[in-house]
Amino acid sequence: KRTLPDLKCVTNNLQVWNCSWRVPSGTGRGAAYEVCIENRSHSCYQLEKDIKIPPLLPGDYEITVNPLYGFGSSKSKFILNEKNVSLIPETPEILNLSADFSTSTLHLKWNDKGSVFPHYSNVIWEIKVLHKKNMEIVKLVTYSTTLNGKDTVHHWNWTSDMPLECAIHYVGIRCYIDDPQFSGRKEWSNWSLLKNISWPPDSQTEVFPQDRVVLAGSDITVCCVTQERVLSAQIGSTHCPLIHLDGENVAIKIRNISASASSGTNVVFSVEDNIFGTVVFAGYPPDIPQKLNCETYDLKEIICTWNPGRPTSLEGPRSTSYTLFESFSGKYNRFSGNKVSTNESYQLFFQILSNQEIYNFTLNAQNLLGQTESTLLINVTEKVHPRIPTSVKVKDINSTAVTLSWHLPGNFTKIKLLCQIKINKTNSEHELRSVTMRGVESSNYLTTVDKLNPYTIYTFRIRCSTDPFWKWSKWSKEKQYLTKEAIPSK
Amino acid sequence: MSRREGSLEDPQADSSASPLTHLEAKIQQTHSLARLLTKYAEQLLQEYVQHQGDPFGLPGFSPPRLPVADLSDPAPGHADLPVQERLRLDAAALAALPQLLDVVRRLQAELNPRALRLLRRLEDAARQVRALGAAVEALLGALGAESRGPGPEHAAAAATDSAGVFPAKVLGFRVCGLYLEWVSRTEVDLGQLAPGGPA
Repeated sequence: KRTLPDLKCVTNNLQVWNCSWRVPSGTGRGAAYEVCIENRSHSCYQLEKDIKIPPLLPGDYEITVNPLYGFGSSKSKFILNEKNVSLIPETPEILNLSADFSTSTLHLKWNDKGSVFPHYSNVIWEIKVLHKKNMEIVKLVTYSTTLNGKDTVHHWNWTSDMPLECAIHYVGIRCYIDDPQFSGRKEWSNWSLLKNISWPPDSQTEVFPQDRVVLAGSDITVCCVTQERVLSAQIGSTHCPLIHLDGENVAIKIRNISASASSGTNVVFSVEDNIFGTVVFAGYPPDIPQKLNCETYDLKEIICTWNPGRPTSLEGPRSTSYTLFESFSGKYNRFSGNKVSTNESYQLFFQILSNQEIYNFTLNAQNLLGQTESTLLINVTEKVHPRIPTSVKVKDINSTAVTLSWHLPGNFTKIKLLCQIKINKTNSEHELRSVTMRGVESSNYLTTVDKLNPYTIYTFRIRCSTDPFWKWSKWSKEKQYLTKEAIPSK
Repeated sequence: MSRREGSLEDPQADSSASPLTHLEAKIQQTHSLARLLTKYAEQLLQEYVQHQGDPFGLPGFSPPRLPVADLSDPAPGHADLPVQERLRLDAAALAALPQLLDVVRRLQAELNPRALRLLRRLEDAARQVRALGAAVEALLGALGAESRGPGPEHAAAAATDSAGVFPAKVLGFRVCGLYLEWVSRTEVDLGQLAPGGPA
């Protein structure tokens, strides 16, 4: 039994085999055949020179070709096996190609037409990106999906290291179906029609990317889209070799860019009597906020402070922004780094909520290159750092005892205060006395100081903390006082 | 920037000999202010360049003299014009500068938020050039020369955020340069009027 000369069976979707063969020379136009397949149902077909048959199960099948008219020879018998069939998927079609020029990102969208496939199959897509000038492939990537019996739209994004404005970018796609149940040959589909993206031509010379923020140490391509001849290009003070693109457009490749100064790194292209440039801001993502500390002076407002850690080299609108989020209340507060002058004071305030003592803070740090966070869980009543006691007053009780009063702003009614009184007598060691008291609504506090010497000048200072202890307030101002004379004993 | 050395009588040195008329005193005072601002303008331009990064400030880096809204370079034939016409042109330029310097300060506040001295110099320059412009206008009034009056409150220079950071840097460089040129031009022109200067 012979196989039909040049018998070529192809299937696009495993549902139909499309077989064709070379018609022997001398055959008249319009020759027709009856083709019969010896399978369970002995099916016969009348046709010209190619045949569409349903897929046959693995195994050899005898094919009888009986020329009906216009053909000078007799019946022939042949063998057909799935192994002789090629699975060549249909040429894919790109649904949409779009670009985000600000991030130099291409967005590709296509339909896998999975509905035409009888069962799940693995598919490998190959996507190519080309530049116009010499149709040089700048990116070739494979992307795997699974056909699941339905038409599925797929998306692929690619960020070019050369700004998309610099050259016309073309994209094509093809696929390969890796069906484990199919024993025939599997081949790539044809490439789809190319779709392209280009920056609307403009007579004005422009440099791209414009004011891009990039990671220090990365490579970046900067290009000049122009109709004038570019004479030179430099980054800062360093001249760079020109890469010629379409027309007069040129690019330079900057490798391992150093972190920028505050106002960024200038990239300048010079033409005959003009210059054009852009600024690249090379920096770092924010460091994890360090030494995050949250405390309160008055149990009315929490103040969180932190250290930003490694500088990012990004300032102003590109600087790190911080968000302090409290998970129990869901409230948050924001701090933007570009308000910080030279003396770094990173702090955020958070209103204390009635009936909430426990606060679960997350401080998120974010800039264009990344984000980090620090967390802190506190019981606010254990983080009181009282302010300086003020309005210290002294009143006589008798010649050896006085009352000391002071003002300590804060909502301390629910906690205990621990205060210290530093008692100085001229030319002698100072003495420290501690006193604990309940917080009061009025914030005015009073205590008795006894065992003093009559008619003696004392200096009093007060500082307070809380129980449980967190931090002492600063010492109050000194208050000098002369105790009463003792009443002479009879 | 040409300076006429020695043509000015230094008022402190010889004020008693010939009491200056009020007008001459005004001219003297305005001339001294112009001279002071010329020095400040030089410092501002230097400080500005230092904060823009290379190639600003490098020899051979000379960006094109872009047109700036409401403000052009002093014309080549400026020195040949009658003094009052020159002062009229000076006053018009000085009137346009405060808003331009403010645009530059706002751009720099974003680019160089920690460059406090630069930002303060830009702020001072806007205030001082306004004062100098008013003083020149007053002189023109006293001389009976009708001044041009304040130009329309134009939107400041074209370069704003949309043009990009580099053009904004170049604009600032240009404005600081024009600021220096016009205050030093005003100093020279006032020098012509100052007592002892060429009649």
